[in-house]
Amino acid sequence: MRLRGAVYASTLLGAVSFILLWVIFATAGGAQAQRPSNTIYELALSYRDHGKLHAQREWVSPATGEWRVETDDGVRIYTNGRYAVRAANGGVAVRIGSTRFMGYLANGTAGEALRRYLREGAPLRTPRGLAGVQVSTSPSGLKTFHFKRNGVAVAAVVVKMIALSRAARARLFTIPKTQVTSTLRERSAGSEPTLPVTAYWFGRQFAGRSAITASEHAQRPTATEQSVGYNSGRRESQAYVTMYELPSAKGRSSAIPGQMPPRGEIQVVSIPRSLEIAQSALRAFDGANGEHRYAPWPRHEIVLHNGARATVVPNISEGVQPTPSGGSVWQFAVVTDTTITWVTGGFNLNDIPTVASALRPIAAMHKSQREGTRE
Amino acid sequence: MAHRHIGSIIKLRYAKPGALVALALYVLTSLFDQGPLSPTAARAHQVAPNGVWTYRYFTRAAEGTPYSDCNDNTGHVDPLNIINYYLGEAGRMYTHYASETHFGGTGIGSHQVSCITTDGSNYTTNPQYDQQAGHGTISRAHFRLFTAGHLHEDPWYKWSVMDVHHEGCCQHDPDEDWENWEGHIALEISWPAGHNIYWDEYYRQGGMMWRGFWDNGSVTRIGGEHCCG
Repeated sequence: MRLRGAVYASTLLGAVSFILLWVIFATAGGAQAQRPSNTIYELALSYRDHGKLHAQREWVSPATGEWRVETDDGVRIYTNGRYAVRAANGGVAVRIGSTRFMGYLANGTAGEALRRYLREGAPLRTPRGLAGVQVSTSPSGLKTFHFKRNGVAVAAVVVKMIALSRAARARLFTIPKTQVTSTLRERSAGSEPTLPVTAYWFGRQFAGRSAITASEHAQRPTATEQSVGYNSGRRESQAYVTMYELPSAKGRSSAIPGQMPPRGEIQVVSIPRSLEIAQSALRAFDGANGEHRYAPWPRHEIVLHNGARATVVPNISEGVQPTPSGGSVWQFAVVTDTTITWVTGGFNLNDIPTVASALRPIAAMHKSQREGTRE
Repeated sequence: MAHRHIGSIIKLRYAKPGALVALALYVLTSLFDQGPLSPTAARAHQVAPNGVWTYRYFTRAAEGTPYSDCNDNTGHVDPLNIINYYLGEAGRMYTHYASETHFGGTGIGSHQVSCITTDGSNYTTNPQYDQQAGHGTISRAHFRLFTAGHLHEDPWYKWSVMDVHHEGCCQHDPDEDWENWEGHIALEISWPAGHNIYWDEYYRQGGMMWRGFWDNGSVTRIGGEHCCG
């Protein structure tokens, strides 16, 4: 009994100590006292550049990574794998995909400084892209984060802390779907298109490269664009993109914001021939580009991997790059009855028909796989 | 198929030696066979007589860096998605953008070059005329303006090009599709100032992902005069 009592007492003591410590830590310091799991921080950002004072309002959820920025020119929202921009011309552009596909877009302006403060307390070490983050508290208790972005000194005052439920009611991180005019959606390489386009690719492996990611881009002209100028139909786009990378790319790709194309990258982009932008491309191949007239570009008839006939047209709008093997171009187009597919990456003219012939529709490949036939 | 309507489909035999020579000869002979180019195109001189554009679609990093060799079709930085034409002389358009849009300021980004040719043979570097930014500072819209790189006596046929984009912090990387701000700046200068707009008037290349964002490869034309307000 005595032993059992001692165990009970020590357990009780431990529990009380834990609770006391939790209370002490939880109440020590303003922002640190907030439980990030259910708090949205509303920040008033101000910064001066070229003599002009700029201001923006930013809402940050440290727990979920969501953020919203409002400026005079529009609204940006990052939420649940979606990055949306509502621009002043009335259009909403949305990017949808993994954290990797978002790249640096996943961070708002002040979110990184705020998260580090909550995690580490002040003063902060200098994280990447931020310099000398400091936190001050006014006599009234308002906290201000001071940091630099892009060489510009920024002050972010914590104006308000909002419960997550209230933020949800205010639809702070809600993207107005009905106003979306442009979408860029990450897809796994080889997945069938959701847009009305016959998408071509080279299969999972091609010329030592792997199909590492794909995306679909859809755009329609905004109402404002339709009301101004000529050719507004060319603002419409439906494209399927597959990215091929060498092993040396090590995960890098020009599909990711902020990344230049790694050496050896090949892009395969398919759009429907019916689009106005595709029709203007066909006219350019034939020597009519705006008011300019020139000789039609050379072309070559080929048979694609699936037996379909196509015409391949090297892009010679910037001439032919001299090479020991007879010249190269950066891009060529493959035209079928339904689709224009552009292949970009640098190709010897001699190799283009062979390379182009390896293209196949993505959907057809899936069908052959299901039937257990050769690709 | 619509693209076959032009007289003869050229059967280039890429596998044969001398294909490049054949290609060049074909372009040149076709040009002479078909007679002179339209007067408008010739006077504006955006496309050389051999069908090659007189400026490359992508800018390059400033002269003196490894990426400044315009003859090598590598080192692309930004697509030149706007052409100011007609009455599109660089200095004149710079003033129009500064006074009629939410862009302005100078010395606000790295120096880049465009790549130009007059006869469609070698591309050489052409320093940027100037640049402007607007719509914020931490994240902002930005463009560099480049002259045509050769003289036009008639102001009507003067033109210039720009790489309009929006960029986030901290390395001046794009944070929106290239199309968004190609459209945005065109709308800004079209109203109320009244510059005319030809959306995606010139095809330069097929669409692609560039630095993480979609670019459709076509260039929007913005007129230099107040015609349409």
